[in-house]
Amino acid sequence: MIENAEVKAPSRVWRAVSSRIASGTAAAPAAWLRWAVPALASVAALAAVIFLPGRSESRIHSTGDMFAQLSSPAQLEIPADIPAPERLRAFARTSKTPAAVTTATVTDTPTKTNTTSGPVTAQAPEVTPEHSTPATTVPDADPFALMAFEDREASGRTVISLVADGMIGGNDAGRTFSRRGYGAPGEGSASSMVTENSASTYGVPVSFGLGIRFGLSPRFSVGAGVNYTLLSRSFLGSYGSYTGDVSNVQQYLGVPVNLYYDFFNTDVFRFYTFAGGAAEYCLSNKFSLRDDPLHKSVSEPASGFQFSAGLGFGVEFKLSRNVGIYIDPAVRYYFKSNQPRSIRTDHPLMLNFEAGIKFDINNK
Amino acid sequence: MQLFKSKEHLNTRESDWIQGAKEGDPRSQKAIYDMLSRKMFAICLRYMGDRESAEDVLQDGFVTLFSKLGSYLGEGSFEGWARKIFVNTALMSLRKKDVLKQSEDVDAAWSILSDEPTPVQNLGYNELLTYISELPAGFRTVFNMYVIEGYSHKEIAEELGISETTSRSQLLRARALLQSRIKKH
Repeated sequence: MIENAEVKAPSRVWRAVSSRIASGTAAAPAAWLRWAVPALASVAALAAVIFLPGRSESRIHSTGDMFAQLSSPAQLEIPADIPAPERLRAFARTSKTPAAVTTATVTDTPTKTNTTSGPVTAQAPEVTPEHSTPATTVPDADPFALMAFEDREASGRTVISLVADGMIGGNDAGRTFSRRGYGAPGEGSASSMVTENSASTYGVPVSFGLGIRFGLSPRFSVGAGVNYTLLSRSFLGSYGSYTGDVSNVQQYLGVPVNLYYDFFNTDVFRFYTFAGGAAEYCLSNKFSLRDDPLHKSVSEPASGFQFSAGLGFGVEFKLSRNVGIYIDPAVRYYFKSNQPRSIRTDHPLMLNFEAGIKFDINNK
Repeated sequence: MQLFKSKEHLNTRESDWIQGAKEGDPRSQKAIYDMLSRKMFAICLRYMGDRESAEDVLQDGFVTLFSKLGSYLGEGSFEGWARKIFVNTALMSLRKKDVLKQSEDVDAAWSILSDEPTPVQNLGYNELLTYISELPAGFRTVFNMYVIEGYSHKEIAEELGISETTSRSQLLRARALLQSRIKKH
């Protein structure tokens, strides 16, 4: 029957209904406002992007005030001394207790099948009819505006995270992680004091670090930090009159920088990909003569920086809203940088495996 | 295992939503909107004739519904109660636009009627809705109220502030116009 026909309503109707319910506004805004508000907001946002570099509190301040003026005829009383982001939050939460909406009693409408007597009493909400029920007030809480505001704020807020991580690298031609890897001398600088008489046996490269990440947009973030790396290898070598096993340990201090892209983000986990580079400085390069009765060790300083580039993907498991643990398998290429011989110089393309814990310090 | 939700189960959920909406729970309000919006929008379209006006009436109707929800005590169908609100909201909107006061000569209108049966049964809901929405406002309102909502001419006259004669004539014109348009297509 035609009286049961259904037609899908546009989603903007619900948005308008929810905002009017939340604000307690009985009268619909003028039709022209429907177009004027988004049009003016778009112009303001575009002008801000073009003319104002970066985000500033004054831009947020003016946009929030303009929106307040356009969307609500009533003047919202927000103290001027509250910082701009808080003014936005206050605007979203401001909801004066509306004037009591007097409801008219809806009597039964007589239909062809219903014999109830009495006419239909149709009253506008703002009219006080002869028979009126007690006033119905909209709660002070403004859940719809707050949810919408939180979405807007979340999309623009810079989330800052602290990261602590550890990494192990592949040591067997850069593809597997074995207790001992093997390789012939590569492009690294040979020691001027210790002569290498055999191929090197590599230990697993190990790194530890701390970092910080900044959210650039809902999907992009950039991270930087400081990390410490320990490289080790052993070989048969000679130093002066000594010939025997030689152990070479190098320590690096580096600054990695990565760009992250989230392609899937839920409350439980996050999938992302990342790419970046690092510059590392060799803090020490020490050779230990293992079989030497005097346990002699020789340090040979290195100069310059070890540059590298890498990319990988990661998954973060969120333990709570602000804490997550992550795993980042990645490949990294170590450029020829005139650094002491190590697994990096012998096998510049390496598979690394990083794991860490991340704390969001301002994700409320 | 119960494959289909029983009517009792649905009514229980509806009661929960109504109670939640009375308490201001946004999820309950959204659930009620989702439950009613399609049918109520069809009603608004039938009365208003164009989508923009129908959207405005739908919006006003839901705001009124939620503000009056406290007066719904569970007696009778909730959908029926909501329907009255939306019909009244549509009528108020039409009254504001002053499109309802049209008088017609009954004899002249009668001559337009055709005796041939209308192929309404071959039309889908959307098509019929379209034809109804294309009627002039006065014809459309009386047609909706008499044919679909079941008002009597006396009730229509009292509601719209017109005479019973005008109500009858507008209904005749509405039927004739509808028939001719359906026949054309």
